Amino acid sequence: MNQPGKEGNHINHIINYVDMPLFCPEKIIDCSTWAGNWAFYYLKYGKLELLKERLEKYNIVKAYVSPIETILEQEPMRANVSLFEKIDKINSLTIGRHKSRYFSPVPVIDLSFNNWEEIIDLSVKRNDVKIVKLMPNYHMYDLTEENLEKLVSYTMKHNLIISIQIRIEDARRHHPLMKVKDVDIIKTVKVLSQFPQQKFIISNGYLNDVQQALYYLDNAYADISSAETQDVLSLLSEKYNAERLLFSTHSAFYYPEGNVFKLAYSGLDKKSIDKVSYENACELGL
Amino acid sequence: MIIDCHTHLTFRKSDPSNSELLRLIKVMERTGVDKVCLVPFPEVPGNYFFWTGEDTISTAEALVNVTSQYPDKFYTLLWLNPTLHNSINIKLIEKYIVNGPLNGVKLHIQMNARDKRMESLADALQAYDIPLLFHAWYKTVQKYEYESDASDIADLATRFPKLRILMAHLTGCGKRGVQDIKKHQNVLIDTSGSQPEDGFLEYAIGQLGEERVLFGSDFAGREMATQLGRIFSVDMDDLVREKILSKNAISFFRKGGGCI
Repeated sequence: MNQPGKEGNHINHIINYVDMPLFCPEKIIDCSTWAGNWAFYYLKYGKLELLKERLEKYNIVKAYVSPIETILEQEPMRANVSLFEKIDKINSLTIGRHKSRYFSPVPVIDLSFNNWEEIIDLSVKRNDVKIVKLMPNYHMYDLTEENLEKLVSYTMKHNLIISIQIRIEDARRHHPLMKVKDVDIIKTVKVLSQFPQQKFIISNGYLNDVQQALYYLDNAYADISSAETQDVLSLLSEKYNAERLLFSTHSAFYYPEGNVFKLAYSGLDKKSIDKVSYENACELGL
Repeated sequence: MIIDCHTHLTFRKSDPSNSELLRLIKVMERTGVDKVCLVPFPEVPGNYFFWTGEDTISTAEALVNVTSQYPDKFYTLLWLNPTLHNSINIKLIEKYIVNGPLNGVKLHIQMNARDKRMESLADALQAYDIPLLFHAWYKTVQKYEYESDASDIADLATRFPKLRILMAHLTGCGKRGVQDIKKHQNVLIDTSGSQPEDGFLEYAIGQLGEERVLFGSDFAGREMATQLGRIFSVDMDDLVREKILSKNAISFFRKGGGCI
């Protein structure tokens, strides 16, 4: 880890204010971010360029990003393709600086819509799609062994990870005209357990969701974006070890400082922080 | 200096060494938080929402010990149950706040802020110029029966314009909540509540002004560091940040010299 201050004025500024060492990891891979427009409130950093600028302040060297419009549009193809194009544009401008592409797209698949295989086919033609994302609650279908089996046959063939998005925002704050239940973690764990060879990421789970997944599934990873309680990373690391925890900001919905601070002030040793910040992601092929 | 104006823990009879308190102090040291406003959950069997005067006394005595043990580390709030008879609550206020070391009162979800039965308690707090932290949240689901939202707090503030209220949970109250309290200069807001959602702090500062926003984490249900990150997620002048992180809290948690 770097003693921040070397990395940039922003972190240095925080150190000076907090008067505490902020051991910001020298390298972070953000496994779940979002770009685009959200129907219910304005996201200041919803544009890829702004999101990138903000994430880079904290040594986030790579980000996996999904298109927000896929959540509510009738079918997700348009927004997925649009994000592909935007990512290609922004990556072409910055590829020299990062030696690799900064953003990797995470297309959203709607298993209730008959063209989902086309999205997989499009994704596979690119060489930068490592994860596909499912949102059974917003897309109004149950995740079952039957519908997941067909997807897994594709993802296993093409070495893709499946992310299960448990929620987008706190259900208590949903727009009153649109209440969407969180994805049921117990039912999800039961279904995922039928596919032990497939790698899954539980995205934006609360502490209980993360614990259920890590306890019952050896093939599931969990992102830390919404896991909160006192010393949450120490708790998770002690109970399940840090090997299957992935850093995520859930930006642009969340401010990235929340999860950067969570990690930096976690009290974990450097080895564990490195695992959460990027090593586990690298092990997964991200 | 950093002051977290909204922190919980429970003093447990089964834990006389106060290990939760020691863990909190370690978290504060690690996170760079110098002082917190401690709002302890009363330890009661069964329905925790309706505790007795004895339960309140037990928690208050624990807080008195904490303030004597760590005089500079904590502001302390007496968590009252307004469904108890007012004479009980007012005696507790006089003993532990007016004539004791505690700093103010916390009210939660036992009684809605609009309830007329709240008035004599509010009257006493206003007369003694005692700071009040009041839970509030606009909830689409999971709302408690008597839980206040920001419009309820605004209603209380209208009836008691000199009562100093810190409305909890900016992220829970949202932009509607900020607008509800905007014209009530006696209502401030803490930054706690829910996930680290972006945009609300900038909005609150813009609408209410920097003097009316205080950093709060809602620890231990929330991670103190994650919530502290919110204050660094918005570009602002250092003097503004200093107000939100400490100066506004120092000003708010002073005890007045009023009398009934």
